[in-house]
Amino acid sequence: MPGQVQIRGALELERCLGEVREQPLRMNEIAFRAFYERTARPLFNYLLRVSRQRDIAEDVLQESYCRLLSAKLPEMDEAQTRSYLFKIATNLLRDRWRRNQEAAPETVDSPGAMVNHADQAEMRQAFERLKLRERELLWLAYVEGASHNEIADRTGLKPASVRLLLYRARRRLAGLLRGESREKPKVDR
Amino acid sequence: MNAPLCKFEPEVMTALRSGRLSRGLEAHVTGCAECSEIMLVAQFLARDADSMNEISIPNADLVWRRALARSRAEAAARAARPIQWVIFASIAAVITAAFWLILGSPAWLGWLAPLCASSLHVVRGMWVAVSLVAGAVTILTALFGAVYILRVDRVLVAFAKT
Repeated sequence: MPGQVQIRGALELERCLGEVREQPLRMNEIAFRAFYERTARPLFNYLLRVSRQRDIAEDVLQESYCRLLSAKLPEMDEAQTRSYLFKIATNLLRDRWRRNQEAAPETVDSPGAMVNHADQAEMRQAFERLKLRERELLWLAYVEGASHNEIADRTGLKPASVRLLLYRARRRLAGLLRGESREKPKVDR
Repeated sequence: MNAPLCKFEPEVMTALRSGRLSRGLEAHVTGCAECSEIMLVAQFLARDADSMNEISIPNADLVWRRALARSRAEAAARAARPIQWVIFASIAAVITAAFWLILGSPAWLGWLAPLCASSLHVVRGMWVAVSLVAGAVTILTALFGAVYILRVDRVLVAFAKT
């Protein structure tokens, strides 16, 4: 009898949960799809290159959109929303990285990341030797085309620090791309 | 350490984004270490980003459904919160009442006295002990029964009004 009661309760719970009115999301489904189409690819590329792991990139991507949709924020235009999305993703990635600090860096195993010519693969390895922060800054500056202020907003750094750190990261990557350093890959942080 | 900046850096960045580099700027980049470094890094990253366009990304449906499910779960948790508080308050009230009945007000056991008056001290002592244990067991059983019933039915009560 108690078992039957529990089953009845579980079934009722299932029915009731379906009827609970969810919290209103930030945008409707059509608007979300359009926004996703425009922003998911650049965000995914950013996450994949910075995290170097596809499963983390996919998970953080989904979590970022979920948080954006349920965030209680003032009205924002598309650029601000996009910037906020990158900010969420960057913070999530940093949290994830802190938790897995002891994990050794992995190389990207995605099929699209396998380029045809060896040079590009070697150059990508150079990028992967950089620290997490350096990869973030370089990608945001030179792929996303974000200004120092925008990068500061997305990463939580001061604009003056962004300028200096970006300069150092660029020097380091340029050196690696020119083959000036053949050091072994370092574990981040 | 100050980061040296070439005054043409913003122009180089704009040109890289638009894909059009004027002859004058191209000549400058060739002779400027800063700008040639920017060109090297930016072109490499742009090529890398292009090479990633074949990688499949999570479907929009999947992300939308996940957001909806989370929103519903949060709404359900919010709806159930007052019921949780009522349950905790009920349990606290039952425990307080049990302690009060057993320890705070033993006068209600007075009716046992005439029964035990003519008995031996040992027997009377046993009567009182047995009565107290039986009372405590009854109250505890009622308490656990109430908690069990509330546990099974709380969801039904919580959502019956939604």
